[in-house]
Amino acid sequence: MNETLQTRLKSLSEAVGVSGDESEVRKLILEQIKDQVSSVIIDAMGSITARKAGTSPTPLRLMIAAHMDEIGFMITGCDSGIAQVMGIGDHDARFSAAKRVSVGSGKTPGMLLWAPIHKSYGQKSLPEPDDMTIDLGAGSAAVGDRAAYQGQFAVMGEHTLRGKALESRAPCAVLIDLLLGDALPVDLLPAFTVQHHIGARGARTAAYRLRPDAAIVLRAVECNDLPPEGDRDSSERAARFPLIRLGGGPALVASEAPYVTHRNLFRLTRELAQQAGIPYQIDALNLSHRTEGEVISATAAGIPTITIGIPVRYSSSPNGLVDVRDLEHTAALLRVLGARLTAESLQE
Amino acid sequence: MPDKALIRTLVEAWGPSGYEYQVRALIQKEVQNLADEIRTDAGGNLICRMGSGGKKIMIAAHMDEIGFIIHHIDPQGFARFSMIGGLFSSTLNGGRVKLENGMIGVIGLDGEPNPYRTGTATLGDFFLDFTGAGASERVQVGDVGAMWRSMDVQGSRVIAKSLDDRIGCVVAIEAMRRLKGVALSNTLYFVFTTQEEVGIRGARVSAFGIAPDMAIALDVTPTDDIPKARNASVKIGKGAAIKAMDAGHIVPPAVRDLMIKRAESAGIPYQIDVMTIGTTDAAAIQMTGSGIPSGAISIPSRYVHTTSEMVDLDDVEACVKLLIEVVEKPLEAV
Amino acid sequence: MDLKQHLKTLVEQHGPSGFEAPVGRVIQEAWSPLVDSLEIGKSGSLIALKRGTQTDSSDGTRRRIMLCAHMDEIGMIVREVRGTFLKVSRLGGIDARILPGLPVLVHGREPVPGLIGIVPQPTLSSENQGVYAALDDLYVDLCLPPERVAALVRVGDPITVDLPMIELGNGLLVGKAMDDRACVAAITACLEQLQSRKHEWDVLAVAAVQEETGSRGAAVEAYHLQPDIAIALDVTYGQQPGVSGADVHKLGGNPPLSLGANFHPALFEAIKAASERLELTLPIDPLPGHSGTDAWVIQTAREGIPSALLNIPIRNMHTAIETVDLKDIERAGRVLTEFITGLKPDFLSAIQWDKAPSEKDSQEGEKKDE
Repeated sequence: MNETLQTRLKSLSEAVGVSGDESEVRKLILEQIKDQVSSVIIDAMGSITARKAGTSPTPLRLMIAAHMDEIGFMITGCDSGIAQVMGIGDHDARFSAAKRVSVGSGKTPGMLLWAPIHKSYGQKSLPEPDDMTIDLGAGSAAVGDRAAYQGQFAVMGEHTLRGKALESRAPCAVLIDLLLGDALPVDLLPAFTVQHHIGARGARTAAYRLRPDAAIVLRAVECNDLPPEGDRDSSERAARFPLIRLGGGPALVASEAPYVTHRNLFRLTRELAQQAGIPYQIDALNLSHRTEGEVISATAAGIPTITIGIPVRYSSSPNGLVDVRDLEHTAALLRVLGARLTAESLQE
Repeated sequence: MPDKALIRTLVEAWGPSGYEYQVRALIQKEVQNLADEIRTDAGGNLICRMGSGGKKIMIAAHMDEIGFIIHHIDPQGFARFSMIGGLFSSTLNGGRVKLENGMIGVIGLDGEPNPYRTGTATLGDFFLDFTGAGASERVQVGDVGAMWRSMDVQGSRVIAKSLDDRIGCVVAIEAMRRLKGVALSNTLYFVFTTQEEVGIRGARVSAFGIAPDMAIALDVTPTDDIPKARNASVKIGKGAAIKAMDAGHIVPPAVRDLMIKRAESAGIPYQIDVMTIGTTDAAAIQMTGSGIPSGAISIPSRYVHTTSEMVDLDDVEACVKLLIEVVEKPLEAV
Repeated sequence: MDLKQHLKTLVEQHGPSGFEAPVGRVIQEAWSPLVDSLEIGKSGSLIALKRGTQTDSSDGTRRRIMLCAHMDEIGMIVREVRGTFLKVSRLGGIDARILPGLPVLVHGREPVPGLIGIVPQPTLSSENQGVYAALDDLYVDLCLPPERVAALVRVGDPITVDLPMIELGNGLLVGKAMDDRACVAAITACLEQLQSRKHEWDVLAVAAVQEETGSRGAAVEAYHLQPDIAIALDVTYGQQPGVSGADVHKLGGNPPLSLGANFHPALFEAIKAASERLELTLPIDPLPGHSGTDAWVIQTAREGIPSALLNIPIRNMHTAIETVDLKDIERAGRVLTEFITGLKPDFLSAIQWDKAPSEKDSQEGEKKDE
């Protein structure tokens, strides 16, 4: 397994950066990229933008965005070690019962309280994150402190990494990998953005500042590859949702409704992947929330944008899974794109 | 291969829980010349000893079947009943019930035919029709009945009522036949038990009396190979099922592993049985006295507790072979 | 002994119902320097004997008290192997709602780490939106190629949650399997204190198997050991938001002592008196009927055994964040020690029910017992 990538992802995954409070992750990333880039700016919202100069005399300016933030909670009150919270981001509450969290900058351990099964039997409907409470024991938390899930980072099997917030930190790790590598013909304009989980807000200001010729959004796509339930309810699921497999390669997102990926950029990316022998899969998402692709593509006078997804299983869980080969293949695909992207290829 | 005539004799016999005497007599006739000692204990269990010395191993298969007990009969001959053991209302309508005296009652459902029925029928909605057969003289409150249907064989599949657990009895008898004259390393107690369907009651008392070092129950287990099955782990026709767990019993890993080892070394097809509904005589035996390490060999069976239970003869044969492999040789420490 | 470290070792070890051997070995290691002999019962329960100073009575009998805490934990068992994934059934009363996202260990031919997965939320049918996943909906994700899974895991292998114990501060400890290893730790504390305290009665310390699947270990070991009296130790509900009832107790408020049909009232009083000698007030835990603990089956073993139940409150019972106050464990140990050291040879006559109508009747009764 790629040890460098593994170590980098571990430190990123274990850092806490709930939407609106991404500083720990930001510091970690700045430390790693500072010698490789110029024009580092931390914008008014907290996103990082920078430039890694291209080798071409007239380099195309290519923005690559990855968000730093994760879902979590904000403390709204604390009495006798029991804290009230509000949810931050799109929680899947199926994962939240009786989980361990870290609270505040000191990462005080806390527990999402859960009534014993003997006393809560039959309760099937999911709670709102705002109705959850955190047990801090004798500890305390200040109003406004953020809390994030505690993950248990580990290597599983031969190629898989387990940990929290991989949906955000795996794309960050790939983007760092790209910046630490050799310069490409294009100008690489990395944007490590904030507040993805509350409306892709950091991507908007970063894109406005950079005004690139084209943009790539790096993000996670949720795998849909659990084996069907025999002859049970599988057909419906398979028919309605694209099959995205862990280890199947980067997912080229053809559309994130209501936004449709730039047609030529999508075709080019697919052709380049085929030529380079990089495995890939195609995703088409029907999402209710706003995405970076949608936001960036409509920034300023419009920016040709493609979203490339890294397959993640259980992305909203305290522990998600990524396949290291998917990360490597994504980095390889970005390098090919950086080498082959031209102004002509973007024209209609 | 297993003796199909013996299977037919036993499954078509009448013997709801507590009324196993007809089945017991049939089995006693079969094993009379096979065992070194035969007795019937106070619980009605038929206990057959083979060999002496070594460890005491109890092998339990229950003789009883689920049934009906009449609690009311009206002047026309429609009887209402309570259940003996687990009757499922979805499997009853149109079935037949045989009483101890041979009377046949048809199971009917209130108000049928009724295409507009909503909801699930409960047992109270069913009745037994004894009309037109001199019911008033021949049927009384308290009479006990069993489901009735004759056996069919189709390929390697046997389809019959009461394969639960007469097929377990057949496995035991078949093993006794093959062990006759063999020098045994252990003292084997083949026990044909009573009242399994109403709370594994016969096995409990017979185990207390025998106080064996180890026990093996022989019983059917449901399969997960029909559409939308989800409470079982085994498939019909895939070999003897070695129990790991059921709703009443976790088999000690040492007992389970011993069975697996013996199956593998003898090349007997086997599968591991994890079921979340129901249990076997082994659940009671393990809890008897100071505790008795117990396991179970299960015969995969579809449609358990209906009149068309289905087993595969190849599975039955595998169970016989596995049982012999386990009990014939000395036991390693369990 | 460092009680906190001992508890950490206990709860981080694995031992689901029916598969308690690994945790049994850890307890055996802790108890063996503290007792005179150890045996493993037919059920797999661990039985330790610490002999008291009493002399054998004329008929060779000795007075014996049984302390019983269960060592099994709730878990899962493999029902089906499906490629990289496993489908599971319950071992004990595990709560499927708390499982998604948790790391687990599959106890196959070698331990295999897994993660509990569920299908993506958008792919759920409309009636499954907004509700918790049920056990049948869970996948144990092993991240291994199917042929590797097939070589390592069989139907029937047990699975447990795999999370370390952590500390919340102020003595609150969080981990899996506090139910009932916290009580095993209390017995260890008692056995350790008894090293330097004189006691006349023999002490039978039992770490029982399969409580979570129906108190199967305690039932057969109580029959096997025939103690004169027994104290079962189990966890009870700790105070927390959203949980109410008379059986809910404050963490750190001393171990509650249960009162009800399952418990001999005179034994209850005697334990209460022992705690008062330590200036500890034990909250009363009213349990009119079934206690849901090993005490229920111990009481009815053989001709009946006077039984009591000492509790340790925990929050979030049957989850991977069972939370306990170390003070309660330590105090439960001290109450046991004080009670045992106070046991006189004639204690049984002190806990008689109403006096028998006449000498003659009671003699007949005794004869019948023989």
